[in-house]
Amino acid sequence: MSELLQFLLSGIAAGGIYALVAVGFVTVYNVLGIINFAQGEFAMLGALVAASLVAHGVPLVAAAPLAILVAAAVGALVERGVLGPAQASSEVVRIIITIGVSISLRGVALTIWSSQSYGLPQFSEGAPLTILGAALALQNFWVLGTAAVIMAALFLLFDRTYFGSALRASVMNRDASRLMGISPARMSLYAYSLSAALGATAGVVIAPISLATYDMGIMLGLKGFVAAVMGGLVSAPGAVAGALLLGVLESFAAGLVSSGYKDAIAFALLLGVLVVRPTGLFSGVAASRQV
Amino acid sequence: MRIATRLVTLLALGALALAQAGTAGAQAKEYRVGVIMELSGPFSAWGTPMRDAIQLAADNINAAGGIKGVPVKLVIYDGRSKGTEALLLAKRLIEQDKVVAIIGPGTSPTTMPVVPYITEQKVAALSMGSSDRIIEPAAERRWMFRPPYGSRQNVERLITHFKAKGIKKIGFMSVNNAYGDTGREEFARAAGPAGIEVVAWEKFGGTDTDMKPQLTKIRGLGPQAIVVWAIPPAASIVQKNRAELGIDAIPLFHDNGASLTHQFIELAGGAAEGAQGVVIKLDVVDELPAGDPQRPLLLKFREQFEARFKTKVGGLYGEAYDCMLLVARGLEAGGDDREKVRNAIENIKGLVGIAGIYTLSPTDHNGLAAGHLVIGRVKNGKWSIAK
Repeated sequence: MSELLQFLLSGIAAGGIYALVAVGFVTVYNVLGIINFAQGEFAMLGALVAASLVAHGVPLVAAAPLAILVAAAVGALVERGVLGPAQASSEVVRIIITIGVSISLRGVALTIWSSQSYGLPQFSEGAPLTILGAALALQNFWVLGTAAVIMAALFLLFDRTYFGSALRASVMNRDASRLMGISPARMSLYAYSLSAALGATAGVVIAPISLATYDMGIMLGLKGFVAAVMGGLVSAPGAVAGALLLGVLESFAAGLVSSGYKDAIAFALLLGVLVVRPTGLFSGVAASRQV
Repeated sequence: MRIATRLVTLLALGALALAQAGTAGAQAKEYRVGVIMELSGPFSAWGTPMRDAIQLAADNINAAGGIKGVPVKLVIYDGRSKGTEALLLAKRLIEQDKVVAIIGPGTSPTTMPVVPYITEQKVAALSMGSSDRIIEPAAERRWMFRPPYGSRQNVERLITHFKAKGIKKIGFMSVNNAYGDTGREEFARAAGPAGIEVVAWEKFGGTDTDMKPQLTKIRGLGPQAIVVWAIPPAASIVQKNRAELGIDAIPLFHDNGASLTHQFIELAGGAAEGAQGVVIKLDVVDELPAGDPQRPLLLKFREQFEARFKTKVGGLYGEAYDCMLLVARGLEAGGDDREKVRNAIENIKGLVGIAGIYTLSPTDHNGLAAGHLVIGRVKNGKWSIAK
């Protein structure tokens, strides 16, 4: 019994990590209309910058926001430098650009930080919480809490604010939004920086658990992407639900079947969802994005 | 007119011959040893300090008067963590730089592509990889040496310890790649004959962030000890997860891969306390008896390395240092004759190194015995000899 509970808790913990990355995918997709394959790299950037700052004596409360700002700035640079100028190109071209961006960011990180791993202290000191014999580290609560806060904030931003409506409008109809006084170019810049910041937040929060390495973004990005697709790519709550489901399935697979198949589960799920329900597991009738 | 041209030609040829004699003379005044290490790319975190250790060894040899008065000159190239690059560099070292022997490449995946070429060119190469395939089958690996410990000695040392402690039931966890698989195969082969039952064979990814499901499963099966076959960061994460789950009753043992650099303890933090594992004597040098034959060398290496490179020393760097010691022995007997150097390295008996005492033979191009390994336990943030 406590074993099953441990698998569930570990799965939820892993799912929280995927969720943080997945919401970044959703944000970019909602505004730029593309999949941002550099999402995992922004998590890596946030984690490594924060780890370096802490190692140089900067307190965590300052290091975390600074790292997120750095990543947002890099995101803005990327948008202005390569994605913005390619605005007129097809979606495929722009998606390939994000792959290029991810490889470049990884390369830059490798030259700055080499291939070493870096740790980050837990946000709150203390022993892990034990529930009926199953354990969950305190940092995992930070991960889950952050995911919940971000999910709620994104929901409010997109559905309840003028700015959010403007963001969504700019991808639904560029010309009409321009007529309404919304600059699609600026919206794209904001959205990309925002998603970079979201990625970095994920990186900073998970670094105490996963450690920070230059290539941590690859697997994070892939798992986050699978989660976002499961959620239908357009909704943050959907992505979070997809992420939790993915984490729990993986954990049960590792615990009950064989741990060798853990990663295969994620990709089998991705294929299954794309074939059977391409609009996402949780999509209602009208949930698909109108483009 | 014709005579003039002929004279000029003759003069030119003469000058050329002189120049060649000059370089030949210069070459005889130093022994050129090639080094291929991963100074950039994914393996650079290990390659760079290994290069430093080799340089330190060469400098020590030269400071002591070289090899019979002839200094060692290292020709160091960056293997860029790629097998193809390592092969190109091996060609350059052998054909252009005319090195007598090669130290490197630094990992198994970058070594394997170089093996056929090294064998064909008949130049001794000392790889820093961990795979047994680098030196086996012995008949096909005449020119390859691998000074670091392999999985076999690690397994042997662990099993000796388990027998002494009466541990008969093991849960085994390994990283899901060639490194973990080799350890797993070797442990499976040795466990049965030693009367050890393995209740679980679990795997985890090298970049996984949570190994608690595997640990929980193993805990449920009630083994007397858990063996983990991985390197940091994964090895550190397993250690952290064990602390989170509070599995204090079942001791956890790491293979030597975990303790090869200071990263394991650093990344696992407080969770590292009580971790056990196969370590080399360098890790526990402060507790060695005064009469230990390796002790003076270990102390000197640690002091020199940490003072010069401002990095904490690690067993891996010690093994790189050993490569240079082995090559030096080869040069002493073989001079700049590649074949003689190889033969001399193969015949080394009782060379005191950092990792252990090397005794090589035509069928053993590693030269280390499991008996030089120590079972360590982390106490106050550093390794100590397990009681």
